[in-house]
Amino acid sequence: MGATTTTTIHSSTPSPIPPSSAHAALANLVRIVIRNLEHQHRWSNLRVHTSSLSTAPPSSSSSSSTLSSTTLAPSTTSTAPKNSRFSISSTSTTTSAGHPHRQSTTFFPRPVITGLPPTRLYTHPDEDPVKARELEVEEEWVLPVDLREKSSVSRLAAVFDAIPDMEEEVEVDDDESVDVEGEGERDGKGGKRKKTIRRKKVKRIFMAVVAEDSTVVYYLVHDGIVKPRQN
Amino acid sequence: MPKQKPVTEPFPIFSVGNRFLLYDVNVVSHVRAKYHVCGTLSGTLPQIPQQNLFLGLPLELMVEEAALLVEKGAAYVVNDVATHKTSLESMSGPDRTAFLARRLASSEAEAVARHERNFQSRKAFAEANNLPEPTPTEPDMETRYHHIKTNSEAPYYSLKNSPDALKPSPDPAAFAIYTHLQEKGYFLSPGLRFGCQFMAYPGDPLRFHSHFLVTGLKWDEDIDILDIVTGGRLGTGVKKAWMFGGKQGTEKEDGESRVFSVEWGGF
Repeated sequence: MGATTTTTIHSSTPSPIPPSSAHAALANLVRIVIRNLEHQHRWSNLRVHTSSLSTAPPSSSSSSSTLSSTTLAPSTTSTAPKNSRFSISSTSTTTSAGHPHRQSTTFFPRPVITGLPPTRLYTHPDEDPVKARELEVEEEWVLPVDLREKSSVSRLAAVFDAIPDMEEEVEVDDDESVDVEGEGERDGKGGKRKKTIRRKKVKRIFMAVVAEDSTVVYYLVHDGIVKPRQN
Repeated sequence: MPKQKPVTEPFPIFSVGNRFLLYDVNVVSHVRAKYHVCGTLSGTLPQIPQQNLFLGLPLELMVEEAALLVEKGAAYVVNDVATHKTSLESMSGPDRTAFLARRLASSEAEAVARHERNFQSRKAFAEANNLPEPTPTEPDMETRYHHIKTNSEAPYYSLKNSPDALKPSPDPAAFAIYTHLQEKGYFLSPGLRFGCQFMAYPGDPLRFHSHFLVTGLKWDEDIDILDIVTGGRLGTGVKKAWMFGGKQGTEKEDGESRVFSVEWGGF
């Protein structure tokens, strides 16, 4: 399982996923969403994940892997042939970079897509709007689902748990107690008014809902209590 | 505005026909300040039963709110009708006569005072218009009234937490997400207006707009994707996020709560 297997799907070739109907339907679903993201919404770097690496079990937050160093390393895609539209990284990729003994392979309960949108899709409502314009585009996770499916809290929780943890640095007002989802450490810099804390980034996923006529709508789902963008 | 009187805990919550009511304005402001429990004012003026604005006491609590207060040991539930009956019946003879005498005396005093007020106003009118001064008359004691004052403080009787006290029994899934958000400092109010279970406010509803439309589910309960879409769309349409969540192992206290905030993706 440690070997890198990168499968390429050409638009003309059949799906590499076993041809049972459930799998075929899922592959079809993924393909519709990928096409929609690529051609209608101009996303790039689209990749499908059926597994992910996490350095720690989801419950412990002591260590976290960053996206750039493990699963989503650009080197993953560079191995793919040039003519590929997108690739499916089916097992643990680029394991050698991290800590092999600590890494366990967490399989996504279902395929998840990552990609780079043309513009930044989400800024927290508390972010300074002037600064927010300069923030760089973030890689987003997309979960393709069919409108006729059913979901549940447990299943969605499993998808979020499979996404590797990330950390972010945020500046908060020192006098104000901000409800931080993760635990923050004080860096001590920034004086009295502002302080910078590192905290676990709240995971978000775009749920791509595919209707029977292949219409795709995107809903932003945050893992936890995140206040709405406009209020 | 009268000052708030301190409330001793536990205080009674009155249960009438499966509704949980608070009659005492001091208790109402106490639970709002201390427990983030707002309830819904439900009292109308007696002559305008269709009033639907500016409602007053009593305050009706959601079953989750009543359950939370009971769980925290701040309150106990009293069957209002039964308690009222028994405390009436258990009133002793001398108490009863004394009470009736007091009521008679107060109504007589009221009648005399009203008569005097009438006489004074007639006298003032006569003086202002150069009419002959009216002759004083005797007050008519036959048509006296007992003036019942509307009271914003409830008589506590001498209520005890009886063992057969009713327990508010909310839906476990709804109660789980209710307590989860309560612990995080959110104020929750009924969500019927937005087709969900609760509305969650980041602070007192008088100061903040609500942030979330909340629906609680069981951990493994199926939810239609279409419901997530409609919820997300509705939430975004009213500048809120739609939230759903559940608790792992609903029976146990130590289960982990997971909630998800859903908004329209924006592209």
